[in-house]
Amino acid sequence: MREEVLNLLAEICEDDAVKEDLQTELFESGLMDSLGFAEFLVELEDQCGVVISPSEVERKDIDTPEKILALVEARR
Amino acid sequence: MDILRRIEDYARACPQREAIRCGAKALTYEELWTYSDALGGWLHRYCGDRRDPIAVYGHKNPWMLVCFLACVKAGHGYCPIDVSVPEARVELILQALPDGPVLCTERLQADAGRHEIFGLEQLQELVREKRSRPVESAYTEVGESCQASAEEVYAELDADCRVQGDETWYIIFTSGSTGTPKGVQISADCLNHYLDWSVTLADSEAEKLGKVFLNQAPFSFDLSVMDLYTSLACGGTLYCLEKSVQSDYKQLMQALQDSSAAVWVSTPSFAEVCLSERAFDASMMPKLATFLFCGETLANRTVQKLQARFPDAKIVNTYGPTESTVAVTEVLVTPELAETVNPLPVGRPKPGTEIRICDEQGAGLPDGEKGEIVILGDTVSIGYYKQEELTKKAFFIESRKKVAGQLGEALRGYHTGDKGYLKDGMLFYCGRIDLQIKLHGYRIELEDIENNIRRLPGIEHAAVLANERDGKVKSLTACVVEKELPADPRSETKALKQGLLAFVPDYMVPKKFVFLEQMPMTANGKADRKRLRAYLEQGQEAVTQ
Repeated sequence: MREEVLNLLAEICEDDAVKEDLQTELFESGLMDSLGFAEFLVELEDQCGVVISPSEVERKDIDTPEKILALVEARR
Repeated sequence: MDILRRIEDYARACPQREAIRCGAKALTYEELWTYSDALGGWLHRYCGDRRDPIAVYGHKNPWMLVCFLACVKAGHGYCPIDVSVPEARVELILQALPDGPVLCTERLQADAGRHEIFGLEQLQELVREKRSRPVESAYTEVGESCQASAEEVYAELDADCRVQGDETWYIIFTSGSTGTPKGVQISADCLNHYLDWSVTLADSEAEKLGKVFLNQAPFSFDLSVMDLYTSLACGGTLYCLEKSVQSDYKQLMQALQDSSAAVWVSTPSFAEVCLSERAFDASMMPKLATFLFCGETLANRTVQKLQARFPDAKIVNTYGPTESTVAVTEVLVTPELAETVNPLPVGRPKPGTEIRICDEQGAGLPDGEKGEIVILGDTVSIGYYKQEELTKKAFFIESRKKVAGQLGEALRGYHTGDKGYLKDGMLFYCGRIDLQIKLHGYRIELEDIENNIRRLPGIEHAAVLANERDGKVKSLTACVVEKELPADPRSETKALKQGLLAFVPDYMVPKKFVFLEQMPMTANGKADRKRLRAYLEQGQEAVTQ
């Protein structure tokens, strides 16, 4: 699961760095924007069956790969 | 259509109806009309007989609209500049315009040179001063009707003074390949011809009367003309979504729910963002009857999701460059069409527009063959502002001979640089011929970004590539050569991105930077994009294997 999520994240950010450095700042670095995040949630539901509604989370809760992993883990 | 006359009619017939709302701020048709009259009267005196275009800077404050109408009432075209435009670019635009006032509803940080800046409070004060005299005199005399006071205010600016015919109504600056933006001039005739058609999209004009129209795009992006003026033409209310609301899902969903919008106008990308929220459906927006899309490729998947969430709404896909007033083709995307035709067509030309597919020599191509999309008709721009060379390259005039019973006419034409084909009169779009791309609806010249990257310290060469997925540009990658390879590419990437933000809007900053020792070149000395592309793809393969 962890690997799936990271691969998906890397695909959307188009950068494998997000798999290596889990503290990467996603929004500030320009790797992710609101459209990218929307895409991520749709794919997350399709591929992993985890449903997260974007209005439930704030940007500060999802701004690194590590925080996203924790969030997905909590929702399984 | 005479759009100003329409707005005037609504200001008289339904003065209390909201013309525009953004958050807690709103203006009624009467306020919009009388304030813009007062401000227009002041502008007219301030500028004298000069009819130069005037920059209007800000975001979604309802007073932006007051400024737009004040300009055209006083005989000046306006040039909308959104707060998202970086300072350096604002300065380039202001330098391209003749000296004169800049009307600002937000604080302008950029150096305005010899332009004189008028902030929101000043503008409101000017309007109050100008209106106080006739209004006071009417209200103090008991028995005088309000109508008379309004008449007095209305009468001050002569209707002959308004922008009309071939005169420029607005100028929108778009990305130019030299790194300097170019201003597309849209005339009063272009706008009015466009509106004759846009009010009929999806439903008749009568169906749209007094409805709420959703505004997503900033006013410096011409997609906003579709919602702003179609709404005004239908006596509707424009419901604006601010940048800060759009980037916060909670606020966004609340705003959509509160809007009571009946007509949705956005890029497909924005609808995709909303679709990731499950609550986004017909029960949340029960009045929503129409989706109008423009600005980028509309994916079948997006349409099908929307149809599942909004089973009764009509979805219309449109196509057109800024140079031909927002859009010139339309197609109603039915569930059958979304099911059977992939990619979706962009539609059939509106009345008054002719679409031609041409080869490199400019000769017309038969049905089904791909070539450049050429647009002729009554909404084609009069050209780029003070850029004769660029105008000559892209625009042309075609004379039509006299046909029995009809006068001969001259049609304006525009080479879009878009690739496409016609099939039974239906237009299909297949990307660009040159290095211009669309990313999230924004039109970008890759060379514009490259020229701006070269302004950064230490850069020797730069080439920007667009990454596509499912036929749609998803992101940009910059391949750069510095004096030597950076020791820490990650921090160098961050520094370059930060540096670039001073010159170009955030949507033009490439997502990824790749550092090369040398730029591969073609025989005629340009960056070899094919080899760069192969390098990027093989590199990615090597990583995933």
